[in-house]
Amino acid sequence: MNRIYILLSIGFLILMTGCSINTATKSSAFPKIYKEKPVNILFLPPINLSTAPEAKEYFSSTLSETASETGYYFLPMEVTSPFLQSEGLYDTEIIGDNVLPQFKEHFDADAVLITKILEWDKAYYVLGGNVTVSLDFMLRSTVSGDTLWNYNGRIVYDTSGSNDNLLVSLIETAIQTAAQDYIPIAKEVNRRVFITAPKGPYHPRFDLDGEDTIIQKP
Amino acid sequence: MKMKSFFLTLMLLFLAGCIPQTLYYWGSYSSTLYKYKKDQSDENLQKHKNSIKYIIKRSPSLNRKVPPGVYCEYGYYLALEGNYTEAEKFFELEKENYPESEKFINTLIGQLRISEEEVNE
Repeated sequence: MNRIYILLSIGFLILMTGCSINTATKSSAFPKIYKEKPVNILFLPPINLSTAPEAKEYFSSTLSETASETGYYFLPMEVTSPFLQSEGLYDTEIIGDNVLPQFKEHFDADAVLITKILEWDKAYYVLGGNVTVSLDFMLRSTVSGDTLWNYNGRIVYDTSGSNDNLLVSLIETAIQTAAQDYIPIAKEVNRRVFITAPKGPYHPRFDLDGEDTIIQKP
Repeated sequence: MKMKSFFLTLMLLFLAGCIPQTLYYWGSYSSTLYKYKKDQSDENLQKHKNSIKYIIKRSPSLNRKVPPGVYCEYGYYLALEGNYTEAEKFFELEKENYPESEKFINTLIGQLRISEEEVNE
């Protein structure tokens, strides 16, 4: 009997080693955000590095809702975007470090959120389909220029139907891939990334989540 | 009968514990904004404005604060329609609820006043 337990324990340990994941506390992963305590955050226009032009709209439409749950004050993107354009600060890809203080000056922003869409790939196969989304978020201080928080997330979302009937499944898949609502998918990926951010002053766990663990990027 | 009520209460309590509590109520904001971004028609703008109006109306009854930026965005659309007096009320509400927005809102009001004067000239 004991042998069985020993074997099971060894098997479990091997399994655990095989799928070992690196974790860290929020305060050790992002110490600078706890020190600077930003309040007011400005979204910079998302950078779309994926091959899907429509990804930018799906993504930017869902950012305000999902970002607000972190507990920071986010300036409204639909109002700040025309201002960024008029100040010549809209082209995020070419904005250098020297520009960061301007965001403090014009918007009183303590930090800017730089967002990149790395992948937005739709795959279709005979009986189904999926969409792979991966994002990279970076929060940079407009005061020190430091990176306060940085994380990325990847999700593969199954968009296929679950019908046993082959013909019905084929028709369902065709309809679903054509009319798939990607808003919930975009929200979900955003949430998975934002959950790793230390909470802001409007969140009840502000300054209390330093010991919360997150999965570190490989 | 008593047993039935007891289990029903227990189930409701269990379900209440399972529902993830969010800081804010956003209604259909993301969907209406997406549609407006895809097709900037007046109809889609009105639908998006209505979804914002509903967030403002519904949030207090859910014991939640109106989300950051929502008063300001609503005021901004009103200003774009030329309704500056009404717009400023919403800008003030944004400042009251989120004092860190003050500097930006004041700049915004200043800029909108300039464009209002340009329209009137």
